[in-house]
Amino acid sequence: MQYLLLAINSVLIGNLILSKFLGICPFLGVSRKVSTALGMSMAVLFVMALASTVTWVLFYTLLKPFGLEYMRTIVFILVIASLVQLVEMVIQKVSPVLYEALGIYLPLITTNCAILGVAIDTIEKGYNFIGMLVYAIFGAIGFAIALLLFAGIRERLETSDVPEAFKGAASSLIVAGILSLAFMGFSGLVPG
Amino acid sequence: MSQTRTFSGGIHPAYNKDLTSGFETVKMPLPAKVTIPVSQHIGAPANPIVKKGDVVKTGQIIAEPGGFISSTIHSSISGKVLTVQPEEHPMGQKVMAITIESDGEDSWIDLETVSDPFSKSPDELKEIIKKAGIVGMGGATFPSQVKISPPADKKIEYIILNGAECEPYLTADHRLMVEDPESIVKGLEIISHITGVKKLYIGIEVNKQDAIKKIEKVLGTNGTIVPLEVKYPQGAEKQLIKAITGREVPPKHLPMEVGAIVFNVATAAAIKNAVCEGKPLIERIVTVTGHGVSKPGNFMVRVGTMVSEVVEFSGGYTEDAAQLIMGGPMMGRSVASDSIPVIKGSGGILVLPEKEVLTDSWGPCIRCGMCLRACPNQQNPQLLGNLIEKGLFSRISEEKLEELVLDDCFECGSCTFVCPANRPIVQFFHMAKAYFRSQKRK
Amino acid sequence: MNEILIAVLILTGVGLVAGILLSYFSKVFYVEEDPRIDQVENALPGANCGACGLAGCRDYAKAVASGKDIPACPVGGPETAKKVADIMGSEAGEVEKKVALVKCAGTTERTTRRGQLVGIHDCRSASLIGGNKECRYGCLGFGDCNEVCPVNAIHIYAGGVAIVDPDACIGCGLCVKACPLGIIEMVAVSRKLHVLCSSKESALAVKKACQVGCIGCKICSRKDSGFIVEDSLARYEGTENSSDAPFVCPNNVIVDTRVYSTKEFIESASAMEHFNSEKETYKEKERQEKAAAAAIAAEKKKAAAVAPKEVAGKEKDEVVPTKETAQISSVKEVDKKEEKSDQISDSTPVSNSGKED
Repeated sequence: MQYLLLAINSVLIGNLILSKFLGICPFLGVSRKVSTALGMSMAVLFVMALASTVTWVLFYTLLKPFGLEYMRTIVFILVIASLVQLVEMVIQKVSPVLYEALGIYLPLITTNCAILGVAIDTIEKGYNFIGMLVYAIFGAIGFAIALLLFAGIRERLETSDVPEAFKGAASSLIVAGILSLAFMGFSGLVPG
Repeated sequence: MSQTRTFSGGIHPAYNKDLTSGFETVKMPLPAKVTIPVSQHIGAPANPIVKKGDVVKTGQIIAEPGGFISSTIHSSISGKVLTVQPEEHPMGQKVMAITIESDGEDSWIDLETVSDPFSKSPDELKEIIKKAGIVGMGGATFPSQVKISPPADKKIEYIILNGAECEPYLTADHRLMVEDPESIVKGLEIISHITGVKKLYIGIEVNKQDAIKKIEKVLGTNGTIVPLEVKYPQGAEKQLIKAITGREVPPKHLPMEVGAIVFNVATAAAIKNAVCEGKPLIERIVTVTGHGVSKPGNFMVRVGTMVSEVVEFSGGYTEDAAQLIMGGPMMGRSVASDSIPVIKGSGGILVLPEKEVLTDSWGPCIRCGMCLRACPNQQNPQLLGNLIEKGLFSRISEEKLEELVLDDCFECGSCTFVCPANRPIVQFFHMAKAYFRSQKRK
Repeated sequence: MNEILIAVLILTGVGLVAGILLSYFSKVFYVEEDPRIDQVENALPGANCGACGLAGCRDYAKAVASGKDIPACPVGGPETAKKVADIMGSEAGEVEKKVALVKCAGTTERTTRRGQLVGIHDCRSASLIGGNKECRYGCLGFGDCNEVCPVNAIHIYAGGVAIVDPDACIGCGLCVKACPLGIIEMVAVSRKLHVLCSSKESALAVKKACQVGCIGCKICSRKDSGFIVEDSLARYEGTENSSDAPFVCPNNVIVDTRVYSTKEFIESASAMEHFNSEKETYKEKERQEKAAAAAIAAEKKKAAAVAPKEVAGKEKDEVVPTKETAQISSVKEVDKKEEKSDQISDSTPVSNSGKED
């Protein structure tokens, strides 16, 4: 039950993009088309689960015993960056098909604050291992939902007569704001 | 009489049929000159077999089919071939055409009459139809000999004659049904004999009660008359099949996929004329109508007669005549000049006065969804139209919309008719189709 | 102190492990990729315009590196082709820079209109109903070419004709594909004479539709054999670039881009005036030459007629020098004329006199 609540919380109420404002860069950058948004979402899901697991283990085996909690940010950045590079190499060799699908998005994720944000968040909130996994995976699903919704709207926006001054980034940001407002409506969903 | 049947979607435009529906068809006098394009049908253009200076008789073959889906072209008058060169075609392009100057005698070739068409074998009859250059006369102009020879693996259950004539203003088929029901029914029987199909239907919109009565009397128990709801585009092939058989023709497929073949009533009459009297398709009934002509009416016109002459015969243009449309107001095409010939598929010549022509510019889509409800194909003209307007052809091809939706669209114009923003949606589709055709060629 | 040491050690340790892993994996999971792809890509203009027919410069580089026989990058021109060839170690094909040219000069005043176009205002739609001009090959002027141009080198001028700015054009050829009438052509920059018409109609139909249409009279091909007339339409394929050719055209369809830019030739009334006066002088000169030639011929005839047959040889001797002098004088005239045209080209706003050398 507790994990179900956690899942709903991380998908809807505490949506990474729309209420925590993490990962805005891919949100605006790769949301031109639904298909690329989907690829990005899958890559994020994959990396987020992996990175959170590794950093969680690292934190509780290395940093905490030595009393180095304050260094988590810098260590996590280091670990995530090399991890993504590593994963990219492995995928390129092992599965060229998957590389074609996710490959171009992986380097983008290296610097994605949503990954780091989730990794640090799990530590801060003190989740256990399963809690961390649920949080990371559903957080990524929440990310995917927001990204896909946004990409869908932007595709429709392409066919509309947007005033010249609002074309491009301006109308995208307005849409993102409205979408964020809409997600605020979920805030009463889980008590407490 | 059973209840009226129909399809879903569609619109109710002002029909304006009483301008011409009450008057007898008048035979137009022979034109002094005809210009006969070699492309009057869907498919490959015919190859001219006459040259400048040749003397031809009425009904003589002047161009042979240029492929499997093609048709024979005949001289519609007797006289001398003046030129064989590209001329203005009702579709807007310049197309190879044969111009013949009449000798005023209208001397026919020897006609082979057949008193009992049912003694002939289907293959012989098909050959006669091919030789006679019969094409679908509802406007699509699909060569009839191709339609009548379905591949062996397709089982045909229904033959449907299309007497719906849903296009506003036009009454050519209506007049034919009233004046010559015998030919239509005979033609239907010949088609039935060729294909071996016994389930025969004639679909007629209920606003043509006189035609229903006449046909009913002649038809007897040989077939069934299906009264259809008065709605546009009731006469479209796939919509007619849906209304009569309840079957839906899937996109990208021909009606024979669901076991039906549809002919226009005028095509059936032309088949009867070709088989029983040996007459090739060289004349047709043309409705000249609209408030832009002085005396609207239906005229029996030889193929190749100039539109200007036909309009002249119907009393000429009124003073405020502004727009000339070949065909009806919905599916017809606006043309820039009246020096174009009447062809086998020209069912109507519509002249609109200035006050009826829409010259307002169109606005942006307000996403009201009226076109979705009107579309007889249950498509989404709104989204597709917007995509085309913004030039996003790559998005259309990504989702294969050009195959699934565009190819299925027969440009009935219902979406444009209902659009409150006056958006030229069907014109967008027309343009996009041309775009994808040219893409494919490349 | 200890704390700092531990922190430094751990961070270094993590970094070291990550570094070792990365370098190890980069060896184990190394994927062979042609290094030339990157090199070729760097040598390309990087406009990603797709003029080569591939999705972008990277795709083009990949195709080149894989040894496919594809045409040289049309945008980069000879320099890029040479660089790419150097990388690939092969001979560079001869590529001359090409620019787009809209082969129509039929502005609104010069052409007959068919009617008013209501509805969608773009070339593709208009071409379906045969356009709004009587001429079926005339520029429709709704700017489909302008829309696809990546460098904004095409403009629709007031006369409703698209004109390419050859200096801005990068030669990607997208407009050629966009034009539904197919009246845009890529022409080599070394070609100075252009026939600004695409109409394959008969002379009669052209006359009816347009004041500046090519009627296929073939006079130009007599002046410069580089003009080829087919389907009653001339095109220039020669290298001679005869500067007289524009003057012989009865309908002023040929533009000499050394003297006028295409835009001036179509648009500017003063350029047209200048061209006409030039044409007049040329015609005048031609008439004089003809008259001179005729006079000589007449004299010769007269002499031949007067002289008895026996002394014809003697008479001939007298005639020949006259002919020679006539030739010399006509050469002088031509020289003078050339001088004059140089002066004129200096005085025109876009002087191309430097390029003539």
